[in-house]
Amino acid sequence: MSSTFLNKELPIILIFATGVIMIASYFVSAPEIYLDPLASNLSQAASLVAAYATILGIVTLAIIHINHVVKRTKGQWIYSIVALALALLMIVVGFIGELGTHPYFIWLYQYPLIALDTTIYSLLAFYIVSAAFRAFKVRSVEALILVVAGIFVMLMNAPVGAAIWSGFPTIGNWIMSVPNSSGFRGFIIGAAIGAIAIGLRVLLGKEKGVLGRS
Amino acid sequence: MAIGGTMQLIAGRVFGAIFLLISFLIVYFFMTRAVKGSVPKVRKMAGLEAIPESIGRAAETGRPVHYTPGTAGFSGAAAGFAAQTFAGLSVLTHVSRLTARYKVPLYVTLAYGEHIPLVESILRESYNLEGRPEAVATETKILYFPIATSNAPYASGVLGLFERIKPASNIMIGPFYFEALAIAEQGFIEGAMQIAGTAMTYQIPFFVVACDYTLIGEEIFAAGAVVSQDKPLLGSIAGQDIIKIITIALLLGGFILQNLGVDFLSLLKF
Repeated sequence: MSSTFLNKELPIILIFATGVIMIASYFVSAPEIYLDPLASNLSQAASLVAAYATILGIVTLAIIHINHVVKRTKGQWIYSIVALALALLMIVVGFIGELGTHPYFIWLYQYPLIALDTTIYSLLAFYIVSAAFRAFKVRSVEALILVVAGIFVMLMNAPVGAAIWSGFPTIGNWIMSVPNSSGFRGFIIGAAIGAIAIGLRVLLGKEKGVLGRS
Repeated sequence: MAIGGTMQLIAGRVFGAIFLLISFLIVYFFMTRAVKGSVPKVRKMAGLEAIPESIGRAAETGRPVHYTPGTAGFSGAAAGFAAQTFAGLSVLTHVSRLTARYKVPLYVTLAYGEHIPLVESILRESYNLEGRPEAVATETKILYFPIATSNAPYASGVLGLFERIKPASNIMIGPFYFEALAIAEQGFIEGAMQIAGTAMTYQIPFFVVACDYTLIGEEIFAAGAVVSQDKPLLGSIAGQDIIKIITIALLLGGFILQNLGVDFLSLLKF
């Protein structure tokens, strides 16, 4: 088998066949040719490939950090030791007893990990404030409309809004359910049509990035 | 609706199947028409026009470029957003060729392991095409910040990276969640020229506020075609526009009929 076939044509054939099966399984019921089980198995295969890719990623990550430690990279190697030690700890504790059920593993997951996750998420509050501060500088008519709409929606959500004037929640709701919703719908329709076009380009092997080509 | 034997179209999805088939045929028709020479003229997109400028700026300042194709994988619940990741990878082909040409360090951050081989391959081929295959090892870095319970590990990884490398250009095209604003704001703080694009409805406003240029929704799907100037891909954009016209006609027709007392929505649910 030529390398051109293996590297260029075979991936396109596989993408096309898989894509057609997955699309057909959504629209067609065909128990005779086992369409549903076939699509379900393909979907599971994708999850398996992704799981293997995660292992590849973790190995790559470990290599990067081990290199930092070995080379004593300034300002990095100590953090690399911490990252490697914690990753190893999670893996080892996770394998004790039944997979991922040991109380130590659950504690490590629920307290340090979830707390760190939430901390990063909470940073958004500050980012939103700084972004909103810039967005609310009135430099044009559009910016003025944005500010006015923003004020109504904020006062709709804040309890004090209704206390100041009962019209704030009414107008805020109207902004969200009429102009905002219609804009969103137009946006979603456009994006869905774009996804159909890119879908066909992928199925036909015309979209180069998908195959890792430039 | 029976097709043959026990094979049949699932009730309630027949209109969807017909619409999808017609859409595919229209896009395919315009793709083949473009190959034959009738290439549609696509309007300029400010965000894409700004990419060479932002990479040129990175070359002048001696600071690197950061690129990410988004934070959705190819499997599980996020697979529905794979089209956006594909769009992000298409733009990466353009960005990596420019960084290779201008000799600018390129950092690509990824949240899913399955993106690594694709990105490696794109970078290798881009640097080969620019005649600098050896530079891919020294001038590009793929950083993998795996997503665990949420996207926070990826977000914190990129925020830390920005503090260290101070990118001159930050380009983010693909699907994003809450990290969109965190990364874009950090990029703003570091003084990076920022170009972002996504079809995730709730993240668009954040990008519009925090970035210099934003590709909105469907623009990211056209971006790969525009940067590559590939004839069939450009043709597919014309096909997209025809489908849009049909959709608008259906919406208007539905609006009129529904107001005349005809249950148009039920007519489509066969």
